[in-house]
Amino acid sequence: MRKLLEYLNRPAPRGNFFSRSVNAAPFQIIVCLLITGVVVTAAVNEYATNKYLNVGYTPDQPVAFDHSFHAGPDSVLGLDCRYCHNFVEKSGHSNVPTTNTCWNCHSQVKPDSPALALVKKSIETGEAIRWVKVHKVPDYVYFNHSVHVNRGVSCVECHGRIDQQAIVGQQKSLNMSFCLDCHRNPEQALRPLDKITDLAYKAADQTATGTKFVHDWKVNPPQSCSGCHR
Amino acid sequence: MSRYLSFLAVAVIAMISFLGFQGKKSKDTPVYVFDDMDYQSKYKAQGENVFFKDGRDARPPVAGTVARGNALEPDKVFAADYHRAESLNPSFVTGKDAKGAFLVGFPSKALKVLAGGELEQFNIDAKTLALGQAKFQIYCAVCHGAAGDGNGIMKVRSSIDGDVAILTIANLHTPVIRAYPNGQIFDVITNGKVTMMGYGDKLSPEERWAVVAYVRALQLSQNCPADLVPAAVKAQIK
Ligand code: HEC
Ligand code: HEC
Ligand code: HEC
Ligand code: HEC
Ligand code: HEC
Ligand code: HEC
Repeated sequence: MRKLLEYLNRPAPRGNFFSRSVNAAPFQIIVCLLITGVVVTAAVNEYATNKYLNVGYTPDQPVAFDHSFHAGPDSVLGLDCRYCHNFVEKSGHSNVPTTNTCWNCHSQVKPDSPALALVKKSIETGEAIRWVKVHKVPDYVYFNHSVHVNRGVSCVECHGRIDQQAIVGQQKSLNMSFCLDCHRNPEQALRPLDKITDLAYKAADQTATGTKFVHDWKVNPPQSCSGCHR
Repeated sequence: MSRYLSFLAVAVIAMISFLGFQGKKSKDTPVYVFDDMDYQSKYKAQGENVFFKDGRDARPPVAGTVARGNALEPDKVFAADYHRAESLNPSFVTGKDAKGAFLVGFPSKALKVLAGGELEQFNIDAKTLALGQAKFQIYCAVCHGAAGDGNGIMKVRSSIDGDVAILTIANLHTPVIRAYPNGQIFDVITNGKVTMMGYGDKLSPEERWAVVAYVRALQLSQNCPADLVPAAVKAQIK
């Protein structure tokens, strides 16, 4: 490097208008631009996608509800997801539960706990609890829960191990390539319908069972733009 | 050049220490640099709405309106001789007969109106029982236990270091509950009873009848008359 710079800065044969260091300038500019380009590309790749902007979003909720205690076969109560998210199989929208759902148990269990004060107030006044929305696809994307859940796609594929989280955070990017990766190879995800909410389930041979489901249920996820942008 | 490169290095280090890496946990609402049409001002399921007094996008249904999605043809709905399926077959949604007494058996017709104006047949078969089993395990087993004996986790918790639990949970195999007419169990599921809240908002009428059928199957399994037990099983028991 030093040899190269010395060569570029060598005395000119005749007297020169510019200072000698200018000889190296084009080379230095090119090197700096290249390095800057690499840094900027890396930064955009790291920071300007959903993987940075959305994954890990873990807002505080108005009530400190804990999935890892209430939900999933390994939790203390072992509630099925559908006890609370009861429309997930029937509708495009997966509902966040009404306060009544909590009150099924909490009218008897710790109704006066300070942690449940807002739930009690909601029961008494009818005012909704303002849960903070975590997962979101842009409004120009059409998404439907029931088509996925009734075709053997488990919650874990898109939401991760919610049953191990004390506070819900986004774990998957939910960007377009994430959706398409699965729509192109659905056999890597499909499982028996009674295992949808068993987030720990692993098939012995996923490709074989998955391929069978794709064939038996005639699964054909949309890959054309109008499937998701309608 | 070396000055610029060291500036760049400092900038990179600053950026990484400030922004972290992918997957970092954060409480801040995600930034949308170009928010294109990501947020459109339309009504959404469970959305918030400042226009209405209760602050909700979802409006409660006006009395007498019909839910979308039950395959009713608009021209039929607006015809003069139209009757809602619920009014054609009220016992299917109330569990009571015309005199207001609980149905003893199961309703023979379902809610769906077939092409000829007939109501669809309601059968208790293996499919109905499987549906009932699935729904029972999701909505009832936490309290009543998978066998319906009232020893779900919400009750037995109290015997594990005296944790808070619901001690009133009923055993579904008592003679009193076994003697209930089907319609009464349907009514408990729909509207609840004393310390149990209703599940009518979560289970459709079909699903509730399927759960009733499954509860009946559980009761039979716990109090099976000897002559119903297959000979092979009887030999094992002895
Ligand atoms: C006892 C009721 C209950 C059960 C059971 C339950 N959830 Fe939830 N879930 C909630 C509530 C309340 C919220 C909203 C507050 C929050 O985000 O923590 C929620 C939020 C969520 C969210 C985030 C929603 C958003 O805003 O993006 C996901 C995803 C989710 N639940 C998935 C699951 C899965 C998967 C299961 C089964 C393993 C499950 N839940 C079981 C009550 C429940
Ligand atoms: C199946 C019954 C059941 C349902 C449904 C249920 N919970 Fe719980 N919840 C419990 C039990 C049991 C505990 C543990 C109480 C204890 O022993 O500390 C608990 C604990 C809690 C606590 C901690 C209370 C404290 O003082 O430490 C919060 C907060 C809570 N639940 C919120 C909710 C919310 C919000 C919902 C509705 C989305 C809900 N729960 C639905 C059974 C339930
Ligand atoms: C194929 C991917 C996928 C699967 C499978 C999936 N979800 Fe979701 N879920 C999403 C997406 C995408 C959103 C955000 C939708 C939006 O923008 O409103 C979401 C949102 C949610 C929400 C929040 C809804 C709201 O508006 O607050 C809940 C709750 C939820 N999912 C629960 C579940 C449960 C429970 C299951 C399993 C039974 C499940 N999801 C399976 C992709 C999925
Ligand atoms: C883990 C696999 C998986 C992921 C991830 C996934 N999908 Fe799907 N998707 C499927 C399967 C399987 C079907 C069902 C195809 C069928 O029924 O033939 C489907 C169907 C659909 C349909 C068709 C619905 C209809 O009414 O025809 C849409 C739209 C869709 N997905 C959107 C999305 C979007 C948007 C995302 C990303 C947020 C996504 N999907 C992520 C597997 C997946
Ligand atoms: C499987 C569902 C799916 C299909 C099929 C699909 N998209 Fe998308 N698309 C998405 C999702 C999800 C997003 C939102 C990504 C995000 O959150 O940034 C998106 C975002 C976009 C965006 C906006 C990108 C941005 O960041 O502003 C464009 C443009 C787009 N899609 C074009 C297309 C075109 C063109 C096709 C057909 C070749 C297509 N999409 C097919 C799911 C899909
Ligand atoms: C949150 C706990 C809980 C859940 C979940 C629950 N129950 Fe109950 N159930 C109770 C309690 C508590 C009682 C006792 C009510 C009383 O007499 O105070 C009861 C009583 C009953 C009775 C007897 C009523 C009577 O007249 O004595 C039946 C039948 C019953 N439940 C059926 C069901 C069915 C079916 C489901 C599922 C759809 C269900 N329960 C879900 C707590 C629950």
